[in-house]
Amino acid sequence: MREMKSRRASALRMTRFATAVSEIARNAVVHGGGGEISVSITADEQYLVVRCQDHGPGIGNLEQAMQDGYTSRDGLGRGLGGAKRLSDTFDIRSAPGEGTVVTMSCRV
Amino acid sequence: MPHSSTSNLVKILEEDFTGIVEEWLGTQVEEGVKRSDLFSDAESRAQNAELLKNFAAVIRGGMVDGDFNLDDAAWEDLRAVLADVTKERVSRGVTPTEMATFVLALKSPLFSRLQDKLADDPDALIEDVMLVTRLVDAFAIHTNEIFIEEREQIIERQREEMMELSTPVVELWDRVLTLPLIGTLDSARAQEVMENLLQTILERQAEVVILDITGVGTVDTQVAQHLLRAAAAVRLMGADCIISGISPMIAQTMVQLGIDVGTVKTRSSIRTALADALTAVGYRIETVKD
Repeated sequence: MREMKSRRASALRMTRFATAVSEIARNAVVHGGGGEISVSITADEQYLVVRCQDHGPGIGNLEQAMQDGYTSRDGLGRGLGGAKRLSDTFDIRSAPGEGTVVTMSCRV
Repeated sequence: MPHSSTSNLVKILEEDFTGIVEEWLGTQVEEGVKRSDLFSDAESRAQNAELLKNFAAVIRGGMVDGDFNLDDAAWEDLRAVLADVTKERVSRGVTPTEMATFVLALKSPLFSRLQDKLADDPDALIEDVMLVTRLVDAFAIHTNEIFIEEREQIIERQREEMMELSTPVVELWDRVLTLPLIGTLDSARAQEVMENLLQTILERQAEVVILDITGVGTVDTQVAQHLLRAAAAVRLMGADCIISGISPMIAQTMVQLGIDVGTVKTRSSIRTALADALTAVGYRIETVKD
């Protein structure tokens, strides 16, 4: 957030991306049992990249998980799809038993 | 390791107790950790003497075959004194480095006396120096642990206070309550907010509740879910719920997340929410002078 502010990103952009990161980070904690998050800036200083990795059970059916309304617990089922819509680029890799890695970015 | 005897150490402490206390104080001054700004000379001296007295007592009675375990019952008095001194120092703003140096400064007076006494017996000297090192190091580690414990207690207390501070239910008018939410809304806080709110609705016979999220930076799906659940519970109790303070940023984010607020009433500012609430309970705000 601070980095984005110093680069004069708009409040809307910051709120959106912070929300997306919050969704993904919470997924990693709730479903993945915690993990690591790294924040970086691309070499051309155009994008803020957040990479979130957990070592949880992984997601079996990614397509289904990305769909709105699908939830494995009692959530709203908008987290993954929503996070994708809120970031500029979004990449998710996961396999059962191998944890999940989400890389997302936002233009600054 | 050969069996080490504590008799030399005990003798030194008996022979020159005050001398050691004074020199210990001196070393603290040299190391710049005496903090005469925080403690008077008499206080420092009393603290050091008390510590050394207990130290001497456990060396006489708390050593098993020349070895020691700080967790043994025999060390309880010393541990308690160390804890007291540490807590006292923490509360006056001494840093962990200063605290550790304060304890470690005890080594040098003991070393120099052992050296004088055992000049002819280098093996015994090395043994005793090693023993003193282990003992004093263990004290220093122990004080550090107490130090961290104290800090953690302070953090925990502040966390609890913040939790209470952040969920005040305010009665704005007859039968109108508001709950200004600030910061992040995690599950624990959401639960507390909800309980607090529902109880107050009952006590005050409230008819309208305004949940104000002006101070909430981001609303993700979980926060939204907590808010909607709170609104549903309020409605079950027969009161109306208005969620106010939805900024343009949060509105757009919520739309993109695909959050459906259903029939929950939302307002952009607490001002419009209040106007609605007053109308609902049968009041009107009028200008009396123009």
